[in-house]
Amino acid sequence: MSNSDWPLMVFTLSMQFSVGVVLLYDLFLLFPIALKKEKLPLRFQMILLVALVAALTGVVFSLLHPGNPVNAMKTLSNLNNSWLSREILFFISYSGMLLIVTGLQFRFPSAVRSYKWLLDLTCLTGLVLVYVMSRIYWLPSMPAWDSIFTPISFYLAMFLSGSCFLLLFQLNSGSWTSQKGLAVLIIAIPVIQVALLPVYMSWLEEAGDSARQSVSLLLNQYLPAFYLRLGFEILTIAFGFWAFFSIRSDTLKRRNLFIPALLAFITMVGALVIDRFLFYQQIVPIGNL
Amino acid sequence: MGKQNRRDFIRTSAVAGGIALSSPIWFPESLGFNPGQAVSPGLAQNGWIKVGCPAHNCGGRCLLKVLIKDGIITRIETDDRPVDTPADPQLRACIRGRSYRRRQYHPDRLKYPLVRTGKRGEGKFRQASWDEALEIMSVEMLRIRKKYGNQSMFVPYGTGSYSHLNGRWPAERLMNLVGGALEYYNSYSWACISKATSTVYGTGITGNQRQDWLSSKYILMWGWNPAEMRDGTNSDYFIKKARENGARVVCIDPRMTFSAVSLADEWISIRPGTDTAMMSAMVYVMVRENLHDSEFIRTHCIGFDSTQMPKGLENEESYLDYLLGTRDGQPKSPQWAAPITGVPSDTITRIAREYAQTKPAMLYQGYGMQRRAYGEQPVRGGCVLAAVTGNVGIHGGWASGIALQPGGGPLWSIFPTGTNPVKAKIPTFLWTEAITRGTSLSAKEGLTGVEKLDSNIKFIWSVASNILANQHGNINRAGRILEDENLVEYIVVQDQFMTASARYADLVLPVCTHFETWGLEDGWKYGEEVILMPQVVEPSYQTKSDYRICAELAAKLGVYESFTEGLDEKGWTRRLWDQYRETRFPNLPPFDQFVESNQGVYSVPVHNPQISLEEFRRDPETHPLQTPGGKIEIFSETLFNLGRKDEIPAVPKYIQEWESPFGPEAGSYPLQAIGPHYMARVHSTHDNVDWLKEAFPQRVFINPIDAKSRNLSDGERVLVFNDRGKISLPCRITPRIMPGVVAVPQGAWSMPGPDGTDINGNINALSSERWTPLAFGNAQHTIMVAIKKIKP
Amino acid sequence: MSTFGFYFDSSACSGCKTCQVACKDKNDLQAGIRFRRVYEVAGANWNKTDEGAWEHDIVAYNLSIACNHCENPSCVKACPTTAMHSELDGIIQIDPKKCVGCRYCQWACPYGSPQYNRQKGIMQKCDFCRDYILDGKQPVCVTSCPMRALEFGPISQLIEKYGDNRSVFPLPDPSITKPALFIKPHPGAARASELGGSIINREEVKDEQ
Ligand code: SF4
Ligand code: SF4
Ligand code: SF4
Repeated sequence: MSNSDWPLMVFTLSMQFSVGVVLLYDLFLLFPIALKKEKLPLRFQMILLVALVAALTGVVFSLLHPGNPVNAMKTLSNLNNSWLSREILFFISYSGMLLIVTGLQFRFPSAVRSYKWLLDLTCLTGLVLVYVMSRIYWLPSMPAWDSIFTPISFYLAMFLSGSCFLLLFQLNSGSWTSQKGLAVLIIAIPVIQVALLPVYMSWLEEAGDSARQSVSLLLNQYLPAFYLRLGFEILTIAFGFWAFFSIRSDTLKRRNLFIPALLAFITMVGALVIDRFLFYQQIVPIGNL
Repeated sequence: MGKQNRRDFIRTSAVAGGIALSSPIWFPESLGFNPGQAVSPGLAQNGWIKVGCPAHNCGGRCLLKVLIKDGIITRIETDDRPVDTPADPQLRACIRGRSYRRRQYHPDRLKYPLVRTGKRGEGKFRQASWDEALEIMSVEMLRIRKKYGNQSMFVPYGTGSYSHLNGRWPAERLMNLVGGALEYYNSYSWACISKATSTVYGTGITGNQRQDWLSSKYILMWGWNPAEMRDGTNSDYFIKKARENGARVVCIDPRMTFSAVSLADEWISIRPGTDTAMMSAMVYVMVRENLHDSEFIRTHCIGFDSTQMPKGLENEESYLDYLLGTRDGQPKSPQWAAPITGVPSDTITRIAREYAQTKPAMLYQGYGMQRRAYGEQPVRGGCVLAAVTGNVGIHGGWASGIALQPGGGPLWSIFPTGTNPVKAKIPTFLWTEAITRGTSLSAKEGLTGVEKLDSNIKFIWSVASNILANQHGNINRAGRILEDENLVEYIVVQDQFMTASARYADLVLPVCTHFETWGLEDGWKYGEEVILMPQVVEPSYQTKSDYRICAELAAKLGVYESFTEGLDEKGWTRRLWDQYRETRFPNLPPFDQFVESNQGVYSVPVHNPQISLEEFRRDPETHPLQTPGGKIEIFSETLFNLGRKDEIPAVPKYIQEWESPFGPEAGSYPLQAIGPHYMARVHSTHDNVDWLKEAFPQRVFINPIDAKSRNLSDGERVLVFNDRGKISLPCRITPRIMPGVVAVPQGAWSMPGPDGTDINGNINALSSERWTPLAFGNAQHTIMVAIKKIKP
Repeated sequence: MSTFGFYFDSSACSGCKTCQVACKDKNDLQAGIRFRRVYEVAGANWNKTDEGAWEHDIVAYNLSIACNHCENPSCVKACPTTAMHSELDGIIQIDPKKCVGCRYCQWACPYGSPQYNRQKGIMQKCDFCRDYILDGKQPVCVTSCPMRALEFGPISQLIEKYGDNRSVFPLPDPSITKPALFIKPHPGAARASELGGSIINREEVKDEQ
């Protein structure tokens, strides 16, 4: 890995994680609570805080980079054409909204219903952000990135990391139905990821010389990493099942969930980090110029 | 690009925080060149000035255009005369000329005289004033001359930064004024080819002017690589033009050279040192298929078959005898040549037919093949091929051999160096022998002018030369000889950088560049032109021109007046200019007018190219050659009379080299190593220029097959070694070199590491000091090596 | 859009890199930054014959590539700051005052043209020697080539003279950016792909910054 890749990796992953957390929080926790007009458990505030911290990590990795906010403004000059401009716009909007919503939650924990619309909007912005982010990579000059597989993989990463975190977080407090739902995601997403791999690879094989070289990079130089990643995915699926069957409506038995949820979270992180690492490593510019 | 291509926007401050800048760019200002400094009257402060390139021994002679701003060169461009035709082409500079600023303003320029303080070769020096330095030098010169005589003084061969005025010429002139010095003959470049060509033709003038190449229909570039060595500015371009005119071009070379890629229709890989085998097989095919020009052979040649042997030698082996194997039982068929040369027999046959049947055809031989063990043989072989196909003395043909131009160059210098009172001459390459056992040298080692030398070499004055410890064969041995202060008692090196040779000096004198003094050049081997090299900037630091240094030394030695004749560098340039008008270019404009015009080059368009040996071709009886028999000597009586037929046969023969893939040495050292000219340098000049290193880093080039069997990956640092030395450098895996052969471009600056391994990849740590039998030439390309991984 | 283009005769290019260095001299580029790069493409099979000789089917040639001042420049689209922009004459230039050094144009350009200057923290790129062109002169690289393998001119004129071929192995499909680069391929280029040819001088062309 060239020493300039890891910031990008951290940035994309932490943003996708952040959006995933906020989105699933909104869907799985707030939505049922809002429906039932229940009171928001206090520690749920922490969830948005974690998402915010993740987004702020992104801030560190991007906007503060030149140490010069003027540069950030400059990068918004080409919204008409540049996906990078758009990414920065959505990134700023998303982070800004998340900051506000998190602040509101801490300040007015019980009035969550009155500003839930803002959280919904944050989610939407986040979803667009992940798409825009993927468009940055969706370039004809970079055949291995130049396809719908890029946004798919970004969204899958978003959902998987979000669900793993939320499951781990709401061991005691979440409703068992939402827990089951999260566990299903933890099982289903890696299954989709693994199933997509051969599809992606065979598509690459057909996508020209440089894309073919990407495949051969994956299958030769990076084969160990490739297998490691697969291993982590399969483990995540396994722990997902474990978690699924540990979830009972009977709250007394919930403690059992900690170990599988934690293991699923850890293997998920492993799988996504390697996956993203390979995403950058496999790239062979078109013509390999 | 590739994997380094990353979006930096998202990079952290960690990156911005201070990763080392990859390569520092230096600015003249930071080196003590002050813009706006006062410049001498007559020097331009600002603007474009045309000035000749090179100031080094490439085969080109080009024109630069430098942009001066506040007394500093800020840009370099090239000849942009609006008309660019084959008759009078632009003299476009190559990559070396274009990167000259990085040499001119290099922070490592020698800045002031240096006197040795440590052991010789250790590289420890102290700064000295010019007066002190020249005082020491003159005292040492006089002391050594008194003790050992003038034959002990030596100004070695060298082609560093020089022009017709600067370089070693003024040193020669000065030596000649103070009793002379041991002289040398022939060169590191052309020892065999200059000697052997005349054994066939009685002359070296065997080439046609290049415009004539456009009439050729078939061109064999045999080991000839004008694109990389620049064998004449525009030679590559003329071949391109010849192709446009319909010529088919075939390149025969161990490497698929730049020339093979861009100029040839086909590349034939041949094992180094076996060219004469392929040449013989080609003539064999021609004879078998009756494709040779038997009429021309009958009327113009000697010794082809038994009917035309010299008187008294009728029973000796003729060329045909050799080919058919009449005496040795071995017909020199393509099947015989294939395993030797590595060229399939079908290919040899086909090329023989093509060359014999396409008329007119050129066989242009390069010079690398004659810097080898029996380097005389392929030269004679090439000439014989040209003769038996009747391509001599005609338009579009080529007599092969050294191919000097009718009425032209090359002239290394027209500076009047005077007459050397010392008559003794050694072959250039044998100076190490003249140091270690000079008084025992004889004609057997090529000594001429005297029976015996009075003394070994005791004083070396090396001007613009890196022969001593970089470019000679087996530099590890040379270094040991130079180190011994009992052998050579005093060594002076005059250069622009601390070269490997300068490290062995007792006194180092810093020289200015050609931009900082006056000079001039002609078109060298080709090109009808005179190129002016006006001074464009002030000398940097305390540097002086070679001429100036010699003049000041002349003052110490009491011969200032006779040395300078009252002239400075510009005065001499004017004098040489006028001399050219008198001898070669009658229409050369007056010097001052030409300087004023800032034209840079005076050229004579060539519309009717001259043909060498044309008169001989037309009428061999009235215009005989200067050979003993007056004809083309396929069989040389002179060589026969030497009585050394195993090493110097009377007809060109393939002789297995003393280090060869077919000898026992191949057991430990299975690879042939050749040292081609490299774009990054001219010999050893420019090796420290970053733009050139970036473009062409020093590598050992190796075929994928040889790399695979050694488990090497591209770019990996490897050890190349034999009994004489070791070098380490990264490898480049390329299909553009034949299996069994590796190339280590010659000229890298020798940098011995702690264990003696040269870490900069100087091939002369591996090459040998052994010389060729007839020409006493260097055979530095004949070496066998092994290669292994450094990291297991 | 673009008005001017390069013509490059790959069959005549020796790979001498005079163009690369002439450009570096004009633009004062430190080692590691190359507005013009010379890619060496090669592929071959080597076989020993029954006679003990060597046979090969080698293909080798060079590609001297600067910026192609594309008619549909993906770099311009990618640039978030509009630093990378097209002049009215179609010359693609970088405004150093706007550039933030994000290097996104480098990703987007399929020709490896934009070069990162770490010291300045911005991208740099061939500007077609615009000052020279406006002065009625030719770009420096073009007039430097000892093989006269490079030419410069209005696109329409180049197409008329040399036809409209903008691709050669392994350059990308010209439909991506419509490069103003007209190429006479080396005769061997047609076989390069089937021989498994590739760029073999990667260390000499990569962006080291
Ligand atoms: S070659 Fe690259 S940098 Fe130049 S215009 Fe085309 S896309 Fe832009
Ligand atoms: S046009 Fe000018 S800037 Fe562009 S590559 Fe050529 S010399 Fe360099
Ligand atoms: S100067 Fe000409 S021949 Fe040399 S690399 Fe550039 S384009 Fe090729």
